[in-house]
Amino acid sequence: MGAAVGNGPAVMDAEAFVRGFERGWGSPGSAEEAAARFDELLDPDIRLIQPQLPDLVGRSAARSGFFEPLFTLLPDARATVERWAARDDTLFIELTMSGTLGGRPASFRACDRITLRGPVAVERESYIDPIPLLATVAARPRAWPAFARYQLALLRHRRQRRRSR
Amino acid sequence: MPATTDVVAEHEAMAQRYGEAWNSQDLDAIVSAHAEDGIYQLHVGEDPFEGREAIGTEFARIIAQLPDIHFEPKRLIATEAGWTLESTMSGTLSAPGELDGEEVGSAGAKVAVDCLDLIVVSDGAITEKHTYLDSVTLLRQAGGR
Repeated sequence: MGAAVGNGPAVMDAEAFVRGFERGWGSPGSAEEAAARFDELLDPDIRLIQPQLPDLVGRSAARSGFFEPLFTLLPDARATVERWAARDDTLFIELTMSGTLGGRPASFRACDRITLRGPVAVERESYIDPIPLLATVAARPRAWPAFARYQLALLRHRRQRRRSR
Repeated sequence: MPATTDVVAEHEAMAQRYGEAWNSQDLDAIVSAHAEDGIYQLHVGEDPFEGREAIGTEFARIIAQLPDIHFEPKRLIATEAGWTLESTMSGTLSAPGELDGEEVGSAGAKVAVDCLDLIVVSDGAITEKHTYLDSVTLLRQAGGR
């Protein structure tokens, strides 16, 4: 279910972005493949904001600080759009992220607020509560190695960022 | 049947009234905006509250815990389906809360977190309210562990 208010280029951009977002998250693959699918949707200087984690700026940071850790935790991560709404340069997408965590299916709802410049995102703020994810990890010992690798992937990203400064 | 633009304008006006009701902690006005068989879900791993009575009980608990609760709107998009509001939710904790049998937070602690509400409206009443916020930040601000 989606809705854009008004009409004109901004609305067409939002609709096109949502279609691209669905394609990007709808195909299984690796972190690298997912990041590549999103390249055309993200501005080179995209800012990603998410709870409990530092902001990420740029496609390279998105790759190492978002896609790689996510796919380390959920190797088959995918997302489906539940509903969306757009006006002017603002787009809200409510989604369900799902995948295999500790050998069993897991899913989490989230909502992204995206600022568009033309057809690409210049900022994405994710509204997701980390507690359900942490609770699922805690309850599934088989997920602990993946969670440890996820934390390591985040650490690796932070070290890379520090070195590149 | 009202035209699309009329419905969107109605939902925008409803969003304003609903926000004012929350910011004046007017529980009756808040609850009366919800459909009898509506649902409310705070996406922190909890099951949804189903029905106006259950929703009202939960909202009463929230207002008792944060008596000066306030939502400062940042972005609002009203559509034919309802509205989406991005805001900063703030307030002062009246007393410690309870989480899994443990006391969390300190009376007098001030909290302010970004919050996103997705509202679905049917026949002039809220049938679904989904709230997204970062409860880890909220607990930290409240003085929780």
